Amino acid sequence: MKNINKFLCIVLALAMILALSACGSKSDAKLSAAYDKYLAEIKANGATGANGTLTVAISPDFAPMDFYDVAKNGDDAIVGFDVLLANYLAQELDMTLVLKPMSFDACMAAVQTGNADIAISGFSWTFERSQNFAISDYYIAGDNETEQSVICLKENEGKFTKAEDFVGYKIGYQGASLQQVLVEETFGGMDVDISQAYVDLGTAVEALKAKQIDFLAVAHGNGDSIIANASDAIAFTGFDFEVAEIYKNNVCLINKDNTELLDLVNAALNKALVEEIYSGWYDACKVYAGISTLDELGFDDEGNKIKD
Amino acid sequence: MTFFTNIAKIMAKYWQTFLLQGIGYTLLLSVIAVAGGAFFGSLLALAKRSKLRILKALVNALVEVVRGTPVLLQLYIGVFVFPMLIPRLSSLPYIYSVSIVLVINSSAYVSEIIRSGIEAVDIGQMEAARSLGLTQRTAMLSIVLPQAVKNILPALGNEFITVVKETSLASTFFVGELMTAYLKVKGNTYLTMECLAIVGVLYFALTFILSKLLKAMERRMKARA
Repeated sequence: MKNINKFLCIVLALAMILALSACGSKSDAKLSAAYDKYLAEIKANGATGANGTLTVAISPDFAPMDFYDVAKNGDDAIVGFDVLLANYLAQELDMTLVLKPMSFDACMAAVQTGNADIAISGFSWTFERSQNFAISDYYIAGDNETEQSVICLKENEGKFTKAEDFVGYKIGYQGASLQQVLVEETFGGMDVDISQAYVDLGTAVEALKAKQIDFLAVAHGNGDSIIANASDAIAFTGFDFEVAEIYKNNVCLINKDNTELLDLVNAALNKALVEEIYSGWYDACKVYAGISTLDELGFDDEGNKIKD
Repeated sequence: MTFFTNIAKIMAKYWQTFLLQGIGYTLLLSVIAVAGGAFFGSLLALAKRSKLRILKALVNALVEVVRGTPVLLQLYIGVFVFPMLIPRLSSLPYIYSVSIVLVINSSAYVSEIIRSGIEAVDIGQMEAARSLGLTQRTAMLSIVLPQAVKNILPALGNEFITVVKETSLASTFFVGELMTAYLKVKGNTYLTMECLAIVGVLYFALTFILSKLLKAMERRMKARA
């Protein structure tokens, strides 16, 4: 028993040290200023939830599109561009929003089994998805989808700018993602090793750091997030994919049988597109995720957009 | 060295996610699974010894299916199929469905542990008790079971430790336990190995404390016997 007591003492002591060190760290309230402002604007629309609930499947491990603010609780803790969009849709459809966080794969299963009405999680249009889901009209999340890039270790920064430069190297990507499609389309006929897919982006980044792959294909926004956190170990190669028009935007997945919801969602998305409702959202999320600052993206300290 | 400074940075910002939420939900899920598993597992073990053939066959089928399929698959079924059978579940957070699945899973394993524990007691013990005039029930409760418990306890301890680690699969549905904490922080920081190292240490601390406690319990039982 003595040993156990000693061990518990050590664990408790460690926990206290951590707790104390945490008290010293600054709060990040400022980071969410612009985001909170947009969310409040959306919610001020005044929907009463008369048309029931809108259950949204979302995979919150993908900053800045979908991620967690660990300082908040419950549904409020899930933040990002897609959360703003989900709130906007719920308002337009006069429904009460319920967010169901789960893994990217589970999002699709949830919509197929009817456990969620709609999946909003940075999905791109792909042929396979169009066969199995009703796919909404597109929405534009900043440069997240329009720019598709390749990242590498810092020492190779800017050295690889053409597709031919990658001959003889190994390039990784997240499985079942838009990047896989792009990598296969771009490098499929060349002598480039594209055999390795990863279950998520974080694992792929580790493989890059461990030099198991030479390059990693990412959406530009995710690349920003990765580089901002990599303490100068990772950089963009300078190569960007040529992205076909159809891949440039994000879509929502809806159950194939639910055409009624599809029509409503499409109407709301088109309104948002025409009226440029989400123009500042992506920038606000970038600040929130710590990729950029309010000042850099043209916000004032209260989170008002003062210049583009 | 960046590895450790990264860990320090992560802990400074996200310690609550790991230490309070993560460990909290892991312990909550484990306690539910272990307590539910012990209770329903005992019932299943009894049902297996029942004279009703149908009951026996049903329980055996359940145990075989549960033991023969991955927990992750069972979780998907629990989260997406159970609500079709029990509509009330669909309006509750996923942690309810996940708990039910973990209890069912743990029950199946515990029932096997208890069955083998009872069967390991020499048949002569039961025969002697019966020939001394004890009823089947008393013989079971006061002669066989007390001896069986000593066989059961170490295996049960192993099962509990396994359950603590199995709760990590529930992170597919972001229920909040340690592996969910890993997913949340990794999703924000893209620092995979650092986050994994943190949850690895925490899982080890949990299971290490648990196994020490179980060892202490075993020792006390031995001293009494």
